[in-house]
Amino acid sequence: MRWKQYMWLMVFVALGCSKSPDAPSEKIHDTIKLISTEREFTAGDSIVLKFDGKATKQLLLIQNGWGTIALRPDSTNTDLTFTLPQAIAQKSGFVHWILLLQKAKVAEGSIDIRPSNILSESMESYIGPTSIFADNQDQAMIVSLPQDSYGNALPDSTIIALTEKFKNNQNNSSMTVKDMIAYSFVGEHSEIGELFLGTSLENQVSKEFTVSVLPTKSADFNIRMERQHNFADGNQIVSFITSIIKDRNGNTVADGTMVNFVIENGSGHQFQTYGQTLNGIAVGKMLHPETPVQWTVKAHISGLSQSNGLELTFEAAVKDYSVLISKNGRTITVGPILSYMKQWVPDGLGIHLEIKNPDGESLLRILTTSRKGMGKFELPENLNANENTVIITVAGIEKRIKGTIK
Amino acid sequence: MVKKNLYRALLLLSFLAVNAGIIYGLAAAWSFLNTGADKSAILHIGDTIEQAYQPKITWTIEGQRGRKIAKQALGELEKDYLNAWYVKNIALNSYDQLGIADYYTEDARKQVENLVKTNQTNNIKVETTTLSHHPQLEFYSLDGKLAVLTDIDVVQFEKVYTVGTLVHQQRTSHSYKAILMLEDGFWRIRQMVKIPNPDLTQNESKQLSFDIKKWKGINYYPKDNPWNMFGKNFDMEAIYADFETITTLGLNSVRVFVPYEGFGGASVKEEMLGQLEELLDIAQEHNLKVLVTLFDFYGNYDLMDWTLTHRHAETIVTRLKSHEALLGWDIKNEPDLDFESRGKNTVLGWLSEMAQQIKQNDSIHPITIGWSTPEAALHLANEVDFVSFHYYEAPENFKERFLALKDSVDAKPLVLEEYGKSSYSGIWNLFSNSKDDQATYYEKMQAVLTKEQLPYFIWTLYDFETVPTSVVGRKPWRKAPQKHFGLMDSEGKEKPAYRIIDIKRKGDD
Repeated sequence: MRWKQYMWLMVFVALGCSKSPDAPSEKIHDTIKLISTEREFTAGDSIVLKFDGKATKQLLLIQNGWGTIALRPDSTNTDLTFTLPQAIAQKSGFVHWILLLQKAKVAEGSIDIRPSNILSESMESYIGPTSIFADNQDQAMIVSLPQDSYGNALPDSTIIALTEKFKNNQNNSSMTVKDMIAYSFVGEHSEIGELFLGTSLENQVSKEFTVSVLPTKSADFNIRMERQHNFADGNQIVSFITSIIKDRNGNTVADGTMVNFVIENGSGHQFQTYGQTLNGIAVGKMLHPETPVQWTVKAHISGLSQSNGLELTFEAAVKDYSVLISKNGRTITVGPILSYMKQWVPDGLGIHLEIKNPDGESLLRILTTSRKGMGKFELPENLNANENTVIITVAGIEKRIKGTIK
Repeated sequence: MVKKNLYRALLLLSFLAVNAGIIYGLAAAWSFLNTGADKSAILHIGDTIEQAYQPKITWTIEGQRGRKIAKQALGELEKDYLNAWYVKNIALNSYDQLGIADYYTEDARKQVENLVKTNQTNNIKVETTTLSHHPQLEFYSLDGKLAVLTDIDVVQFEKVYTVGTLVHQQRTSHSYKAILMLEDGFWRIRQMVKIPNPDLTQNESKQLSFDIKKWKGINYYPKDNPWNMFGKNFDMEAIYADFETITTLGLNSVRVFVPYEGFGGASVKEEMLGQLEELLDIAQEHNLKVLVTLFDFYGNYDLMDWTLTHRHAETIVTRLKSHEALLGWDIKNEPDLDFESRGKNTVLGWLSEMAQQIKQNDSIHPITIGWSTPEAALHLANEVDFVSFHYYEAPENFKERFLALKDSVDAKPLVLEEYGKSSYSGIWNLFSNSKDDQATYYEKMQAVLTKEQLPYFIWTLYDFETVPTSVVGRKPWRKAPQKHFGLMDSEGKEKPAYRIIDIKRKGDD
């Protein structure tokens, strides 16, 4: 029995400590009406919303495109008015308002603010891309954001004048504002040059824009060569020269276009040399070969165009030479090596030596270069030229001397 | 002699006490020195940052002028456009203009600044979030650096505070036109104008048809991992066996809980979602219907958190809405308990919006909110398809309180979504309960329920060995009874109440 009493006591204590439930707080207010009749305003006007009623603790919530603010009534004794701050009154667009009185919504509505008639001085415009190809189809786009003096976008259907100047032609056209912007495609030229653009609306003008019209992909071209003589002396330089490389519309390609010259010799080996264009012409250079050979040269601009194949032959510069082996078989002297005019070959001609034993096994390979028409090999101690076969190669002429002494 | 012994004892005790004090002090110092950042933090391994703002965005790009936009470019535009809204929302709420310079061009920045300053002078704060956007791309420039869009029907939720007190909150729908420009790799808003909402034909809410009268269900957690059944604890076999038991009892539905954070918040983890789907598959095999309770353990409700919870609900609802076993959606369990800590209006605002969000994604299944008492169930009664309430008090008062609710909610169907009695008998309730008391409770309750034809969900199938602290708190006098609400004990043995519920054996179905 005691337990039960105790339990009840506990229950009452617990109940006493618990919180009372939420009291309903909704209050009903008389609606307040908007008296001012204007629903459309112009940006920059003084906008005053007047309601029937006395200014007490009302709060006017105002929402435009940028966000929401709340205003307290103007401090007048007679009327309930709200003057919208400039931050709101100067921005065009739809404005939604709600009048609150002690947390209850008493009126609601919206006004429309149109852009001002006073235009901003400069026309905000953007152009891109700023360079296009002269291929008759590439385009750039100019976008203008015409604005009033408060930075509001102008209404749809406003007409913007667009002026284009290319070479001697000046062209006037118009673009129409839709969704706050006006745009136009420009370009489609076949000649290279600078395209000048400007937009305007009455006194509102843009700055001058330039679009570079650049040559497009190169067309195929020709190459020729220039050399001092046609002997394979390994000393002179042969130049490969392109014709003026142009695009398909006859515009010279941009300076610095890389041209790749590929040289193939008779045995299928390839060499490469490069040149960059200047005024459409690229030059590639290559050292003369040392042996008589036939070259086929072709130039490429990677992935775009190529030249004709150019063939050139090199005659042997050296007709013959003599080889002298010293008695002890340790020194081999080559020369004098005489060139096409019976003069010494220029210094630096390659002289190859190979020594094979009687079984045909290679024992030594050395390379030296000519100096004053001569070349000299000193053999290592354990090697005797007289006991082996000596093979000398100069400018493609091979000489074999078999060992004499056993 | 006695005195001497007393002194000795005191001396000994004080010595022990001093020692204990020293050891405690050392331990406290040691553990203090070991707290702080995890050592791996030295490595600065970047975490993936979850986007804090994820309103629903639906693009229309048909009819776009200028250059055709690529998917990638549109994604970047979308990201920055939403960020622009986000930083502006924060600026209006906190006067902190961090990020405004990133997402607004120099001219546009001034506009935001002006509004913020006006509000700051008037001591006004505007807490706002947008819930959905329907941007129509109007124009994309040839060089991809300028875009114009019309954002139709931007659903916004706004709370206005003056000097810290909430004066107004509302859900609005507005339309905007915006010019964005790509500068320094950011899409920045250059121009923003509000336009009148285009006329949108409102879809009339469809009348749902669901047969509520038949539901006889049980709140379900497996006995080994209550309140934590998904993830690595997910045990298909246990669920299979339990659903078998539930069918044997003659019940036809179960109520399960989806923890918000546990399921991954805004980006729902596929693993968990897959498991929930499997649970529904198992239910389907047993001809059981499943009432899915979302947002368990969720308690933020903050406006800045709304879009994240919306994405959570969207993912789960869209995935499961065509499942045969799905009975309906319970938005939140006992949200009225958060009224005090989070503010009644905040919680109700969130619930109301969430109800709409779920309806948008699933127009077939009914929704409800699991209020903790019959009285609390009056809240938002018009916005749910059936009214759910919980009841853990004396069976004698049940009928009266239930009828009072029934009168106030007009024709809305009612469901007793949780009820039960703990058979716990111990020191914390002064040995005042017993298993037989529990059986008697059910006897009384079932009589009323049958008479009133009120659908019900019993709490619960098993006694639990452990109850997480996050459920009822740390206090043992609250934890202990919570462990003994089962029709079966934690070893799976039937308690007397089991026989009361066993419809098949009684044959009254």
